[in-house]
Amino acid sequence: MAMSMASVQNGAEILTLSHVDVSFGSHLVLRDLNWRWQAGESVLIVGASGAGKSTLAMLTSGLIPGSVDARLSGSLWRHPGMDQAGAVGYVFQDADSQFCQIRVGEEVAFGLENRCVDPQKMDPLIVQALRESGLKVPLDLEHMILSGGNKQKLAIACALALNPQVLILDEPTANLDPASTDDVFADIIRFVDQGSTVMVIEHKFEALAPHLPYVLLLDKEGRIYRFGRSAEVLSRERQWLLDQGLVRSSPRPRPGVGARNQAVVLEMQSVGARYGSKAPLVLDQVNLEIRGGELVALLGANGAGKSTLLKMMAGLMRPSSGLVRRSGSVAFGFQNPEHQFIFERVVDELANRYVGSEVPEAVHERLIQFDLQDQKDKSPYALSQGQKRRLSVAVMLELEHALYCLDEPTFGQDAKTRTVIMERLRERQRRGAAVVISTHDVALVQEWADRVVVIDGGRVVFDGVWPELALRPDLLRRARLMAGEERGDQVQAPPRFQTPNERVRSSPMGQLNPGWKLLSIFIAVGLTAFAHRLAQAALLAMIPLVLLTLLSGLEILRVIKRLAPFVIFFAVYVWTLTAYAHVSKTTPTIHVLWYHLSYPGFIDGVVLGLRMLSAVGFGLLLVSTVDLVQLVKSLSREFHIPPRFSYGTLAGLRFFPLFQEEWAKLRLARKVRGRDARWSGTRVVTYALPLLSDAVRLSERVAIAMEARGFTGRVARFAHARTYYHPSPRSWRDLVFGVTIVAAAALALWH
Amino acid sequence: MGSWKMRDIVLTAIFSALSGAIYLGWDLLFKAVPIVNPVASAAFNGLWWIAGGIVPFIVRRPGAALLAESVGGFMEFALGSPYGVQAFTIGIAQGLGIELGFLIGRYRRYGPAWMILSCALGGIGNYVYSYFYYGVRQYSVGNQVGYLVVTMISGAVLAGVLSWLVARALLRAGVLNNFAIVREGRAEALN
Repeated sequence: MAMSMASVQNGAEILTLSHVDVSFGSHLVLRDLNWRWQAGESVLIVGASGAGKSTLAMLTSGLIPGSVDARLSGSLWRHPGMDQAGAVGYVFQDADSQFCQIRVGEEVAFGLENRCVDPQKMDPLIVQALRESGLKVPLDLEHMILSGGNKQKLAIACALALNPQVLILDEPTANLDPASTDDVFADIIRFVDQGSTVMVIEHKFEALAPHLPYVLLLDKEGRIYRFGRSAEVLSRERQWLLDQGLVRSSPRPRPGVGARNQAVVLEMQSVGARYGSKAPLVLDQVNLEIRGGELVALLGANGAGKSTLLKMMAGLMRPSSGLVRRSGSVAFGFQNPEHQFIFERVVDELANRYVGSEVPEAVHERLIQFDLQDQKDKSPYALSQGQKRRLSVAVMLELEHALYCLDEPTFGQDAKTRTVIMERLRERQRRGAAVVISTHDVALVQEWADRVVVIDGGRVVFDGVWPELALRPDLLRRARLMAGEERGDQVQAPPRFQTPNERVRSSPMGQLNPGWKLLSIFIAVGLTAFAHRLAQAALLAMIPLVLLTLLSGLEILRVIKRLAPFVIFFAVYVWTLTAYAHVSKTTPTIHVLWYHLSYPGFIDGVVLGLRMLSAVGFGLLLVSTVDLVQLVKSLSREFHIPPRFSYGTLAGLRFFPLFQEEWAKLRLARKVRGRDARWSGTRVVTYALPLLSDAVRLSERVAIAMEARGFTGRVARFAHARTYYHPSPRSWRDLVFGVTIVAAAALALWH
Repeated sequence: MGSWKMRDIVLTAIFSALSGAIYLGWDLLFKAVPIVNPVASAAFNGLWWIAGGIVPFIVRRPGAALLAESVGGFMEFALGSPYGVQAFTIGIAQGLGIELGFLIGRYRRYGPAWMILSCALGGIGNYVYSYFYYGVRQYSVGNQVGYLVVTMISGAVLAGVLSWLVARALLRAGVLNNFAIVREGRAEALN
């Protein structure tokens, strides 16, 4: 690997902590840390949730006290070589929120730009970094459509491109399936073997431990419990690890309830499903029978159709062919627990109504069952991940149903939450209900599932018991439970952001500098306010239409299609002014109902409509011939907007498609909660709360990730203090275009 | 009052982009109303600058309303608003109007009363822009005054009160702890 130790020699001290305390507000997270860390000592950080592992990593990288507001006491020394942009590579748990660009190449280039690398030299570095992380995709691919595992590889590539002195990975596999986890681990092991300095925080550390020479144990109070050679420490501290809940004794299958004689609660006969009439089949010829009392685990790769099948079972989606027969009611648990919350207090949520200060006995009992008694007055959104999940399952189990469907209920949860959830589900099983869960968690399947169903490509490819499936490596690979080459089908997913095609890009309009094009169009649209006569307005409307049809490389049909809805608006403007334009007393008017229609008003309306058509045409000319990334960056490059505003805005805008998907899920979840969750006076505000809370948390993570990649200080403040990956030529064409459209608009007005 | 942090900018962008989608929906829903009466239709105007209310309320930085409304308007435009690029430019005008309110409060006052005042002033931005570009100057004087008054009230309610309620719900959800709304003015925000 190209990780060089240019300024930090192996064996040199890179971090010294003595008596360091770190607190957020009044909450003390790390206590009395004393630690010397040397380059070359790759280390595994192990500790329970809330032990302060991420805080320690941020302390090491310099994000604390720089970017993250935390109080620090004691003395902290970092090697000055670690302060350069990109000297510490950082890979975060949540793959999506560490990116701030749209395509693979420009994402890796972001760090290089922060380092002021010459744009001419960027591409070889980017290609090299992608090769080292093992990600094989084209540079102009939108990374939003990559799988979770490949997103983490991209994040690693972003770090590697900068030749980091230290690479920090903070639970990089927490959201990945077993196959992708193995893949990322292989990367980490390779870096360590090549002599790089790596810090890894990982819950599933047992596979990594033999390869990392050092381990640091953090206890629940945020103290360093041990630091030393991993083989030694981990074997000697086995009991401590068990006590802290960091390792589990090997999974023991728990006896099922025995479902075979029980009644069928759900039957599916050759069920097919698709989203939209022309979309490909997501489910194809699915035949399944679910009986009361059994726990069925649904396995399969992402996109194999697991969630669709679950929704189909719960009646949230209609089959496009085939038959679904249910006997009894079905409950559904969404992957994101927040989607299920409709109240602002935990107790209200559990009672499914506002209960005030008197907590009903049944609710109180369930608070204890799900270990939420200390949280009862909190907002559901303010809970920890585990508590949120327990609450959402508790809500779902409020009523007796024949079938419970849960979408990845133990995803990213600690051992305690997992056990609580599974035990409660088992109780329902004993009472004759069936449970179907989708999952990637092999241990969970071994321990709890009575039956396993594997979906691949929308078809059921296995239906049996775990011991049988365990002997089928082909199926395990297809279900992403075992490492194997990832299938490339996701790369065919449609792009989320519209990018001008080659024909448009090479057209006269497409070649213009985006910033100056925006400004010229602004001025031209501004001039439309001065058009008062029909001929003036008609000429103004002609300008963008001529440019669109002749010089933009767009197909005429597409232009017409995009402008068609405008017809309605045109009619509205004509009507408004026909009926409401102020006319002199002598002007003849026609009285219809309470309207006074006038001819001069009608003409005014047509003028206004044409002016609007001009603005719409100019707008279409702009959006269909620029690339969003380049447009936003050109604001810095051409008009010296501080990069933190342009890049920060871009980082926010890229989440838009993600929120569209979330919104669809949220609406479905609200539908499931039924009557209580529908729109009503008080709900207007809380309906979208899950989405907005998510947006806030996302902004924080994105901002920290950007700063971790060197986007601080001058390169973030001054447009000229950084380099830019994309060329942005400015030429005589821009001047000609600007002068021409402004002159044409002026001429039209003078007419 | 301090300088913009990265998280403030990203939050502004995300909230504004989401608002842009709402604006587009609003464009399509309520454009038919002037068929009845332009003054009546003005009652719906306020929602078009909700980003300019909620974002400054959370991040509390000079220029927050202007940035939020520009990004929101741009998103509305880019998603295919029937107003074309004017969805963006009127956003700037509305943002400037709201900014005026916070400026009068010297960027220190963000209580509900100031939210309502500032968002009402956003209505002036809307009026001035519509006067020149959407034919409002051709209405009779009575209709013009009616349009202005109703637009300002609409801004006060649909942008001001609504964003205050949403921000308060977020505050209770405990996700805003690292933003100025909590760090610089919890007491004021809750009153």
